Amino acid sequence: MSEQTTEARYVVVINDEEQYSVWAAGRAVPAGWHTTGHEGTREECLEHIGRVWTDMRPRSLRQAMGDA
Amino acid sequence: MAEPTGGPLGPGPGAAGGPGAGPGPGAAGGRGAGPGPGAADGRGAGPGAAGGRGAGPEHPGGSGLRAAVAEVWCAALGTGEARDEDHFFMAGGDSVLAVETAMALREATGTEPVLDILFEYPEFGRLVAALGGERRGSGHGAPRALTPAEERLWAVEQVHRGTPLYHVGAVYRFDGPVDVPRLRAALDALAAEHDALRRGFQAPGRAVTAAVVSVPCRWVDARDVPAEAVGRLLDDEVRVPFDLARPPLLRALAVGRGQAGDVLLLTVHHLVCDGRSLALLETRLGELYDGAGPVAAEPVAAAGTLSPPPRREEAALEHWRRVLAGAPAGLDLPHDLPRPARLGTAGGVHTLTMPARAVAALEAVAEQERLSPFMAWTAAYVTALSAVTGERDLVVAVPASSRGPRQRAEVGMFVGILPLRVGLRPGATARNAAGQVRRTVTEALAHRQVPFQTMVEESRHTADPSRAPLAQAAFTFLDASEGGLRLRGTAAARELLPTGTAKYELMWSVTRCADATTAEPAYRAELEYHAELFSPEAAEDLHRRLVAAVGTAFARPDEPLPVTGPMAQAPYTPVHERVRRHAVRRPGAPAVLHGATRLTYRELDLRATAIAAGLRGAGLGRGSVVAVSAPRGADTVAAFLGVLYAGCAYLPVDVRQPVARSRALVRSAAHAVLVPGPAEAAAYADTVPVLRLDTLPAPCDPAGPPLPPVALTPEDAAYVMFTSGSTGEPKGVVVPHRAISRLVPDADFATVGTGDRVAHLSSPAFDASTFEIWGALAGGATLVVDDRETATSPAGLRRFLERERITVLWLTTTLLNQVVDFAPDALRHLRVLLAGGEQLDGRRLAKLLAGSPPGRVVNGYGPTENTTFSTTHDISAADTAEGPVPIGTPISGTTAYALGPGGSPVRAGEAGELYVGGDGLARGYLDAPALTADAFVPDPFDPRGGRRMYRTGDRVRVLPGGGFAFLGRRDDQVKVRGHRVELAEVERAVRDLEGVADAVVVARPADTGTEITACVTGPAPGDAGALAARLREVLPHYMVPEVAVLDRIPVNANGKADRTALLAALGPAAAGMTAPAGGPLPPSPSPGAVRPPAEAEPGGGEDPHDALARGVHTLWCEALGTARAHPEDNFLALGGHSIKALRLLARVDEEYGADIELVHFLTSPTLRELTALVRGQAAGTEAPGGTDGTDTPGGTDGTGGTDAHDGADGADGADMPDGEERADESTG
Repeated sequence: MSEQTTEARYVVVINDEEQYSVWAAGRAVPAGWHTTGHEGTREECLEHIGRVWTDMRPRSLRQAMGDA
Repeated sequence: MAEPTGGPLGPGPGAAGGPGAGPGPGAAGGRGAGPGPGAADGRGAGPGAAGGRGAGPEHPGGSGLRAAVAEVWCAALGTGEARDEDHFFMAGGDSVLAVETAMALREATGTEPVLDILFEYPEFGRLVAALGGERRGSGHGAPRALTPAEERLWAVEQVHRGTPLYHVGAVYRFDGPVDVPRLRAALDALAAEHDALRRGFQAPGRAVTAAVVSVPCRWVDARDVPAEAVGRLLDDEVRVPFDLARPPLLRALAVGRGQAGDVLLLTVHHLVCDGRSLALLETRLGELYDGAGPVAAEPVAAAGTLSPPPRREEAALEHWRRVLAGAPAGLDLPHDLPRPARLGTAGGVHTLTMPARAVAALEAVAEQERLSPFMAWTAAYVTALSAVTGERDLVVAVPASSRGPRQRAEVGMFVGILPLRVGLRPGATARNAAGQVRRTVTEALAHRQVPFQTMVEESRHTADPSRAPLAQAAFTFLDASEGGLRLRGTAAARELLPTGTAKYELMWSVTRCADATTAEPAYRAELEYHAELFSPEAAEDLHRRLVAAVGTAFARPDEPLPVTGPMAQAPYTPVHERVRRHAVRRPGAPAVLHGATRLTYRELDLRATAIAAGLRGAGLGRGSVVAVSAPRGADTVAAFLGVLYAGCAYLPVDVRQPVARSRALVRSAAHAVLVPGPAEAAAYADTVPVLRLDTLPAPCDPAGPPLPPVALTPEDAAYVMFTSGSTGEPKGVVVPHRAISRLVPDADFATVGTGDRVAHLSSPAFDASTFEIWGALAGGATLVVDDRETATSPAGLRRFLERERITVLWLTTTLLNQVVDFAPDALRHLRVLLAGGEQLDGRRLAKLLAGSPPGRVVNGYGPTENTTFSTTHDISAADTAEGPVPIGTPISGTTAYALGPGGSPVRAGEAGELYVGGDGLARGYLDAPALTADAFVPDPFDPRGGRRMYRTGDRVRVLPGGGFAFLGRRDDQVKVRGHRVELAEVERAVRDLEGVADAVVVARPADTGTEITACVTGPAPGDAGALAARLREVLPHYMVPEVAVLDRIPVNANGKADRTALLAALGPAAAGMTAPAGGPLPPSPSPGAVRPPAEAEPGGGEDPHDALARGVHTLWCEALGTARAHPEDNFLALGGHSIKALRLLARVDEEYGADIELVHFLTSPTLRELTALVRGQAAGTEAPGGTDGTDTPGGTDGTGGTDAHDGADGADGADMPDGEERADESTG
């Protein structure tokens, strides 16, 4: 419902594996997730993620592969 | 008590509660509870204050009214007296005070002045006169038209003949005997005094008052009869239908119980009695029984209301137009029974006592927010409904008095329905809800002069026989301290008998009762539910959840509802290490069989090791993606294993897709590609390095040391599998090792062991192959490959399964259906059959289970993004009976949540979107961060934190046991004429039809919105029109699709129905299609749409030159407000409803003298049928069978009336037979 409307605001969130996602602005961010400070419409947030999430491997894997 | 000159009532207060002590009939509880000034100045603000104001004097005559007005006037202006010439504004009144005073006048006098009445009648004397109105004679015997309130009930009665839906059964249990002759005399005297008790109702809609009636009064000697038998006697009595044309619509049953004290049951029809009327009758009956002489019958006005000037009517109407614009078409309540095409009236009640803690929490908020008890409990209901349905936009029906001052003391039906629409913002709190309910109730009451039926018409909702218009949930608030009968000094409280009916899908009634043990009142909550939607267990469960939700919401009134939901995980083991272990332990065991090819585990291991060596030699390793472009077979399996041995991820390429597409895929997603030989190698020239299986180094020396394994983490990618995105762009799903480990071989849904022979019939590029290949090899079983042709030929499949002694098989729904149809015994030797990919067909499964079933039949559900299966369900015969086949519960290591629109889990019975996660979750989409972030979202429920879940886009219903039932794709949820329709639901109904083998339902945009079309195959589906007609028997009208009969359903590469191909084959909507001929649902409901010219057909008889047909056409158009109509137009589909239908039939009666029964018309409410009916009557003979309807389902002659129940009308007339008056008083 709310997430479909263009007016709805979202924040970009990231977990400890450095995986990105979006979360409704104003709602408490779930445990294990942190906001990156970027806020906008869902589209804007996803666009932002498309730019910054360049290595999509989980952080633990990157570390295990020795190139984290 | 009553003074002889005190009017027909006398002062009410003493009647029930002792002299001066109790509240008056219907007045006191309501006064304290009312909104407006009563609430604002604190008189009714807190729940505890309700009723505390005590009884006000009744105003049966002018002097009483005058005194009441004077009291309000003086209080408002702060003066000691009021004289006729006193002027409100001259005496200090201002506009705000004027409105408040008007509200107070409503409350104090029971009249309904417009809010600015003081501007029109500022002088006290004129004000009293305006409020009092003039009285006029009642005109016995002269038929009159029905009031809106009566009309609403009457319409329901026409559809639900003989229902006790609107019977009011009041039971009084006395300590001593009832003198029956005295009672009879009193009842007859009572009827003589009250017109309503001599009133009957005649078709098509007239009220006629008889001069004299005698009230039936039966006495039964039940002195030695058990109490249960007496209970049954009363239950039976209250349900005996009234002949509405023959007054009185009141009867009495006295049950002699000897020492135990007699019991009296008064049964009265709601058409002549509302809550306040009942209190009036009780009081007066007591007086007459006690020997009071008859009073001179007060001539009272024919029913009607104090009519405000038309402009105010228009303003009120505008209010409702605004409030109801865009209101939801229905409320999705968590019912456990499938919704019938039409709702009947059968109902049940579940009763419980509100927990004191919840009451206290609610009362605290009510006091802070200055809510009346009615408002507070309405807010509680709305909050709870929102919690259990996930809906944020709710409409709840509440009763409201339509009495004007002249009906103050009149017995009759004076109750209207007000729809309260409450919209809750995301994150809204209970306090927000309370505030909004207060505003909503206040505004609704200020505009209550608009009949509910008018609102229905204004809202322009399409009539849906399976749902009531505007509101499906209702609420009432009652005060049990009222009501009772006192005969010769012996008082008995009133007790209302349930009648086994329901007027709404859900109606919550809260009753304040005196608790003898404490000073605090107790609150009894009754949930009346439609028995066709709710089992008693589901209703009880729902009721408890509603009540719990009230407690939760109001205990923390400033927080949104909290949510929870934990899950577990499974251990990790790389799958290829498991395979290698088998090769070490059981080297000679058969691993892969494919025709003449036979690989033992050792052979497989050697081949894979060789491939891995080749890949490493080519510089590929951990993190690399290696495409495998080979057909299903031993080579491919060995290649997959080799890729994993090398630490790479495999990317299966579907060899049946166009080469250009494969090239593009490989180029964009893979670091290298493995192909069988030179021919395939050429196809990938100029893409990425190509490795040929036929030129790789020979298998290593069996005696030599094995290739050292690559150390992998659970997060290392195992494979990349492309799925078609809804956008058309394929997406590469990156699946890590932990996801396979969680699927095989030890997951709880199906374990595969060394004795098993697992069929491999899926495309390696399809996610089911993950289960087939790795389930077999990780479990040490034998993977048996065969060609696709095997699977698509049921007989070939049977041969394959028997020859190869297959024990574990996966089939897509489509293939399973074919096998059940054409080789039903083929699956009998299987240990486990897994099936899915599309919604399973319950009928096929029933046939399978009843015939030669496999050991287990498991419904496997899951998106590729959560690795093959997310939930599974072991199917039993019980699952195939009705409704969707459950997809079951999450497999081990898997989470699954059905979430509502606000992101909170829905509860059992409710629908939500399915989110899945856990160890099967893919890492995301290859090189598509935005798509990944969009679909893989934070899981707020996993206690470990930081987890993600995948948004499946599938809508599911949560089953009572905790499993899920698949409803359809989110994008399959389309709106047809404003109604939400799940295509899967329609599909299921079509498949359930006899003679239909398979069906796929697609939605297509059309000029008029979305049209749905069922593409049907089958041995004997019949023609499209007949199919549509059969569907109309089982589906709500808006869900009835157009039907196209096809030779076969096109199937895509994954064995699923190819919807894209179907849409292309169908072409644009409504072109070249077979519309549901002869049916009430035209493909386009737009009345103005261009239609083919009407053809003259036998039986229909709409010869365009026929005057009668033209005349009926004209009346039809008048009734619907359209310019023209087609013979097949459906009255209900075009915005008609039963009351409009009644008016139409009344006009038809006037014009043609044709007395057509409503129930008869609604059986097939087309213009063609109506014309035929009129013609039949005009010819002086009833048409044989009532209609010519050879293709009309159900009772066509109108005698089988139960078939023709029209739920919409039943429900739109829905009402509360008792207590609404007091409930209304509670609302002010």
